[in-house]
Amino acid sequence: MFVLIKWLRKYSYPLVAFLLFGFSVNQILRYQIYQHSFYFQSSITFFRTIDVWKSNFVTYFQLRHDNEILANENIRLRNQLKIGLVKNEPFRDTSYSDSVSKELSNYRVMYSYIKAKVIRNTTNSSNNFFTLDQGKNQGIYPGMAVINPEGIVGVILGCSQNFSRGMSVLNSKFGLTPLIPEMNLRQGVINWKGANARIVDLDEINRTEKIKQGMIVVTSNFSSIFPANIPIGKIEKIESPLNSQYHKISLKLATNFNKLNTVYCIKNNFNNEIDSLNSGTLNISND
Amino acid sequence: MIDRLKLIILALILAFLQSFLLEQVDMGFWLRPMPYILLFLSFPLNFNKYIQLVIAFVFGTFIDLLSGSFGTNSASCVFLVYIKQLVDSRFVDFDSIKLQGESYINIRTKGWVFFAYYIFGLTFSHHFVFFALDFFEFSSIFRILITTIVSTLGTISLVLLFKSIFRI
Repeated sequence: MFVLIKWLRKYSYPLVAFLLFGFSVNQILRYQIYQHSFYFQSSITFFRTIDVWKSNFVTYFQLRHDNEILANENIRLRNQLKIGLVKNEPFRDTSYSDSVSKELSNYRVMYSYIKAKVIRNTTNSSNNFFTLDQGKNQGIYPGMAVINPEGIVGVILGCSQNFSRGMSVLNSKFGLTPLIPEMNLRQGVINWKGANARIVDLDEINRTEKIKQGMIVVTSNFSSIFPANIPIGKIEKIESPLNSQYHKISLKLATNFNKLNTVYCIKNNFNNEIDSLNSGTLNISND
Repeated sequence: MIDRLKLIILALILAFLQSFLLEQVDMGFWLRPMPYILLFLSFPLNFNKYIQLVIAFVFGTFIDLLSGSFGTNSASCVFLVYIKQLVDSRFVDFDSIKLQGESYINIRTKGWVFFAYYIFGLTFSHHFVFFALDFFEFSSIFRILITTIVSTLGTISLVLLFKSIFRI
């Protein structure tokens, strides 16, 4: 304590000068428009650069985990493509991509995907957000859904030229109606109440529905943001309190938000059409 | 007492001169003289150094308010007074100056050469901080330097002019 007081007395003059100088500089940064905008612009760029460095470093340690989930996803996608049928036929001069495009030629492309990397992510505040290294220049706009190979991640809220910020599922404002494929049940709302980054609540499912532990929950086809059948999680715990007409369900998330790295932003190519149809501005002819 | 009154009147004159005359006249891009540093140069050497700092801050803020540039003048004034205190305690012997019947550094106290170094160094440090905060960009460092040197010469000539007119 005495040392501190001695030190303060010895260096009081430079300290007072520094305080007054700092106060003046603070005034400059707050009230002079040019200096203010310059300072905040460069500090934002600086912190984004640090975020990029940090994520480059951290992702190196997650490569094994990423590899595993990407391999699992590949298996799932291959099973959907039904390429086996083509393979069993006698010799035909078609390339791999040809067979795929023939398979897909009867469909229209509803969703297109943009790959992005998470450079900042929180899981321990009450409203969690993430930042991606892609922005408007890469075709991302607010309202896009974000998934990763394991399951849903969140929704984009705002974009700058080269970065975008989104709300993750671990956010009290996030809500989504899921589908339980085993019962073909579209009911309830996914909602995060905080506390645990692996558990979300599934509210407002009637207590008459016979839900069992271990059922898979996926996104429903009612959402215009998320495509259908993307994993959300698995039912972990069900309580049915007598004073409520709803189940109290805890859901274990499929996505591990602590290891979030590569994500896909999903663009709904028919979003405008669906919106205008829903708002009644599109003219539908009678025939 | 009369010395204090003189200082206050000098401060008011310099502040109004700076904000109502010199800031309004366009003297070219490089030249922005600020002769109000004459006030700090004519502080008595035995004046309390903390009060000097506070006066510099208040005076700079006053000029900022009058000329609408928040903080730049006060920051550079505080810096100038701090540097001046360092220089005075290192190079100036107050007792010998007192024997000469002076209370601050003048041309005749330590000769032309010392006074030239003294006033140029102090004015340059003040102007450099001022323009660095005003341009606020590392890439325009050459513009800052050129503006500082040209304005320093302008300020010094104005200060010498005032010194000879008012016999301060």
